[in-house]
Amino acid sequence: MVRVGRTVVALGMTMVLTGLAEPVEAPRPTEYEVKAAFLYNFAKFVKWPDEKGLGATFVIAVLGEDPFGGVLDRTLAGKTILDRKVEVRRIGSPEAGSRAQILFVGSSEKVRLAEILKALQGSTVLTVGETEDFTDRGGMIAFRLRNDVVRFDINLDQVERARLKMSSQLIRLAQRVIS
Amino acid sequence: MRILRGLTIRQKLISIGMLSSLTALVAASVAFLAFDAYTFRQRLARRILTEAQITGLNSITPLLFNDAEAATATLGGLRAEPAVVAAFVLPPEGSEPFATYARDRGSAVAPMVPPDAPKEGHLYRSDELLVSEPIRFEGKVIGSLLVRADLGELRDRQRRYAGMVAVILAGSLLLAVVISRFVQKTISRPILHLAETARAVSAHKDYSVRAVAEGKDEIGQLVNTFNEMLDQIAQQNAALEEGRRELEGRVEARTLDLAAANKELEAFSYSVSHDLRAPLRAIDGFSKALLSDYGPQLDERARHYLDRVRAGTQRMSGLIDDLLGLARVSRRELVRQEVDVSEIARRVAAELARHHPERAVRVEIRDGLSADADSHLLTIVFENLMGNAWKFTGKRDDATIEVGHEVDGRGRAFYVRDNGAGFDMAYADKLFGAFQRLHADEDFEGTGIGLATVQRIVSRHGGHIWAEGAVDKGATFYFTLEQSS
Repeated sequence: MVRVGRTVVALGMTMVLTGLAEPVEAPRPTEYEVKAAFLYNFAKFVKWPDEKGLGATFVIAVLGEDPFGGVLDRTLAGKTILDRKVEVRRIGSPEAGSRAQILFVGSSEKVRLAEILKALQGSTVLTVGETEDFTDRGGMIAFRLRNDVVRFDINLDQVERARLKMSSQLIRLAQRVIS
Repeated sequence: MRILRGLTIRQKLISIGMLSSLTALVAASVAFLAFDAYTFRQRLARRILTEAQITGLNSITPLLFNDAEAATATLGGLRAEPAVVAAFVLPPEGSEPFATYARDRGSAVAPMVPPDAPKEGHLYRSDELLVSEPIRFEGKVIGSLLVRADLGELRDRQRRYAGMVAVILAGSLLLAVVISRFVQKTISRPILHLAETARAVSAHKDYSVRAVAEGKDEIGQLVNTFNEMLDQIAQQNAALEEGRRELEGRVEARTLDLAAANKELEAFSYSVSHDLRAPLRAIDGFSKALLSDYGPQLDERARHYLDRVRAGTQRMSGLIDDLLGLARVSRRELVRQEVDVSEIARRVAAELARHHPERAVRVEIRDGLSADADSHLLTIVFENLMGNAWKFTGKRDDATIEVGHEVDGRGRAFYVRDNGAGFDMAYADKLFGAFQRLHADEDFEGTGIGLATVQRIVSRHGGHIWAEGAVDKGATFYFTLEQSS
């Protein structure tokens, strides 16, 4: 477990935790608590092409081995995105991922990444991974650690190919942008 | 206003003009500067607030994604606004800034988050502006932006304005002096003209001079009133002059009447005295003849009566002599010249001593007395005064007569002093009347005309006479020979 910067305590968790219990002297958030909050925040700066045609829930799917444990469910419990309840699904096949809005690809799927991405072609799923070459290999957002702080790269090319619109406010925070 | 008091009207008017314009200009400048400072502060606050809002919007994602670097870069955009000294992105809780911007990066002192910063909006402190803008995302406050701006620009601006105002003030004052110099003439010229006229009137006593009124204002009215006053003074002067002339004429006429009456009276008394002499001489001569020719036939009693007749005639003769003397003193023309008063007194004393060799009288006469007087008449004065002194010291063994003068601020008085019988001051005013006598004939002989004669002479010289004394303590007679100044 990586320890993150002190400022993260107040900030990274703010969006996520407000509305839940008041974080009185909250424990230092873990890497995956931060990443879970980021997944949620990404949704705020991305526009899906058919937002009205979404299902009853906003689906965040985890493909492969789940590194979050219970953190993701806890973080997103009761949250809404685009007026829909956020639903966390754990899936085994890439095809199931095409019905999600955000797909987190675990590092266990590193080997069959190309296959997964190919399966998702034509769908409007925001793919997020945490392997170093995730964006180089066609993923859209890759988490990375820089000085113990969670950062991310963006492959804008892939984002646009999936007909997603990403806010420039988000793009400018990317460590690396591929376009 | 005390400062103005010593100035001339011209200077006062110019000073008033300058003072008024200076006051107006300074007041206007101060108001302008104050208003400018106020609007500048308002504008600055709006400008900084706008900057803060934009920067706040750009700070949303850095906050959400915990990217302090990005937040710092965002704050860097404030460099475009030079008034901003420092800026902070603050988390909603805790005072540790998430990101900081400082204009003066070289400064050793790191910018501080002021503890009294407002939660939202702007606040002016003595020399800086604090602007606080909450950063909201989806209705929630996720942090705030705090901007500190200094007022250096305002200060520069005010310094420039102050310089400008100083130049304008100097120019305006110069202009005010020039204008005042022209404008004051419309007020000061008639006043100065009036003052000049008044001075001329006062200096030359010429009431025919008139001031010229230039306008219908108060000064014009003053000039007209002044002229009217001059008219009145001239009229009154004329009336006075006429009255004086009339009075003079009347006095002259009275004097002539009086002189004529006096002359008549003198002529009358002279001729009476003169005419009385002849019958008196007859009485005296025939009574003398009677005594010498028929003396032996007459008895003792008859001879005594005849002696009494002769003594009476001699006394009457003396009286007539004195009266004639008094008349002559009045008639005689006054011839004034420098006379040696001491010498006259000495001659009179010698004459008295020669006539009364039996008396031992000490006479002290001050040397060097002189006067502008009629020598003959002054001799008569000393004959009478010293004669009196001689006479009234007759009963004293240490008889002393003193002649001298006293000088005081009003003039000089000669005096004749003795240590004789003296007189009662209660009768001092009776001394100089003709035929007035304070002593019995048995004690001291006399006709009572001497002092009247002396007074006559003194008054003809324009002086006056008075006496001091006490019974048995002697007497001092003072007289002056000219009008006391």
